Amino acid sequence: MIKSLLYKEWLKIRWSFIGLLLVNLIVVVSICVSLYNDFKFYKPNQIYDGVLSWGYVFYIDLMYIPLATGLLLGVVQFFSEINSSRLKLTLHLPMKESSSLLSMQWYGLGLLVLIFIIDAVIISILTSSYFPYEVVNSFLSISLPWFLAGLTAYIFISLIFVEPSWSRRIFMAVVGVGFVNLLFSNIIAMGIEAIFSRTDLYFFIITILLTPIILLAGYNYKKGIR
Amino acid sequence: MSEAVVQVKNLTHYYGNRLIFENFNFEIKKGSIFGLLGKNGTGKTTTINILNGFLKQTSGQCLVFGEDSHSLSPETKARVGFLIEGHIQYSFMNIKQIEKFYSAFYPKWKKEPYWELMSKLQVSENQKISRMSCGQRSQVALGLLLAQDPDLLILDDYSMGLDAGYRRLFIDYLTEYAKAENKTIFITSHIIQDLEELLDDCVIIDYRSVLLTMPIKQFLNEFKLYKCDLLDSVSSIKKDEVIKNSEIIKNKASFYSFTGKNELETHLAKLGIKHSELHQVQMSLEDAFIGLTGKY
Repeated sequence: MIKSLLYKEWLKIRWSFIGLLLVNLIVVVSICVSLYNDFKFYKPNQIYDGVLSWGYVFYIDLMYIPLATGLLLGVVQFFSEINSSRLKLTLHLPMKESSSLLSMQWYGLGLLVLIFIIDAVIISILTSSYFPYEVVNSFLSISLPWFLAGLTAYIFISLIFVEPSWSRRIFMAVVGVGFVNLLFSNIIAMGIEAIFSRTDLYFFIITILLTPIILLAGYNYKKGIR
Repeated sequence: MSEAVVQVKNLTHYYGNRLIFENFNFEIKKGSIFGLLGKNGTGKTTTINILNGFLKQTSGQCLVFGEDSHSLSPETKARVGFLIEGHIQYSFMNIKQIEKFYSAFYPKWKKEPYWELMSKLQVSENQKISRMSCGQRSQVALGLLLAQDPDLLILDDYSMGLDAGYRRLFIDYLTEYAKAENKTIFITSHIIQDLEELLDDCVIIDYRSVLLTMPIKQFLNEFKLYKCDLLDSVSSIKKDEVIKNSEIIKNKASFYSFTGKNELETHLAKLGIKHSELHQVQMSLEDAFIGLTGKY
């Protein structure tokens, strides 16, 4: 049954998923081309100096892409369920409602992680071909909060759409914006060279622990709370 | 005594401070076709939502196959076919994908009735549901319900958006299926005339109250329309135990009542209403429904 439910989710979001994957790939490829051009037009020691001493982040164009990807995938996946009360069809399926809701949510998270891993792997390979290991490490540390922001945005979108009460939706939206802001706050406070901090990790763990709230939202939906 | 598939006991529901209905009671017996009739806004969809566990009632009890409707087990859900108002389905699927999707959930799945209905539509297997007309979508929804082979079908306004042909097709299939397989159906519709030949029992609700619960044949036999000419000028006549509703246009009067002609004659005489040529007129279910609930 779970397999069939995931088949439905795939049919629902496959074009959006492919579109978002393409957008991510276009951004990543443009970063590669741009770095290639940098090495073509400047001396390597100038670029090393820029990256290592002056904090030049050649992959800055990626910064808000995971956030936008998480938001859009969440909207496409869950708006379709809420539109015309289709969630009733899903919750009427002969399986545990908790399994249905969590499967949908974790399936979306899985697809997002797949996109983000592809982004990270391509940029890591590119970075390692031009720079020492430390720069690759620095890329992963700097970009991790961006990817976590994408996953956090997706989780909050899923909660907001399934929850029927407007007051709770607004509350979740405010908390979600706050969490995403905190993931970007190091960048705002310390500049782009800010690296992934332990606080970011704590906020992300808290967000992951919030995923079962979708069960409460589903319960409220079933109770007909407005 | 027949087994009750649905039992509604003292059901009361409020939206905020607005009372929708109070102490609503009915039972749906196994194998019967039960209609919930009422004007717009009287609580038909509210009742369906409570029955399907998509709305928690303010008080009272609603049992489906003996289970609380708000916490139905997956096994019981598999026995209940549910049609959402407007024939809503997963419109991003095509007709082949949706059949494949649902078939994994229902142990008694029979794909033949679904594909029989789809063949009548003359659409390809790759036809996306979102690109189908409302009538075609109703056939997809009906086909999926029949393939599910549920013991109880709950149909929320199946007639919404359908022309006469599709409504007839829907009812014909439903009637044949229900009678042949001894299935139980709970149905609401705003087009009463289609239900006359279909229903066994009905409950008629009005704003905040239940007007009657009885077999449809009994209702049509016992509820009568009388017409007469008024000899004096009368602007309106109040409802009472005998006169359930009345209409006066110029000197022509219509009375709806559960009593016989003689009792009505005596009652009109008591009220001092002078009239001539009181006679009974045949009514359809729609006439009787309007007679009982009124036009407004």
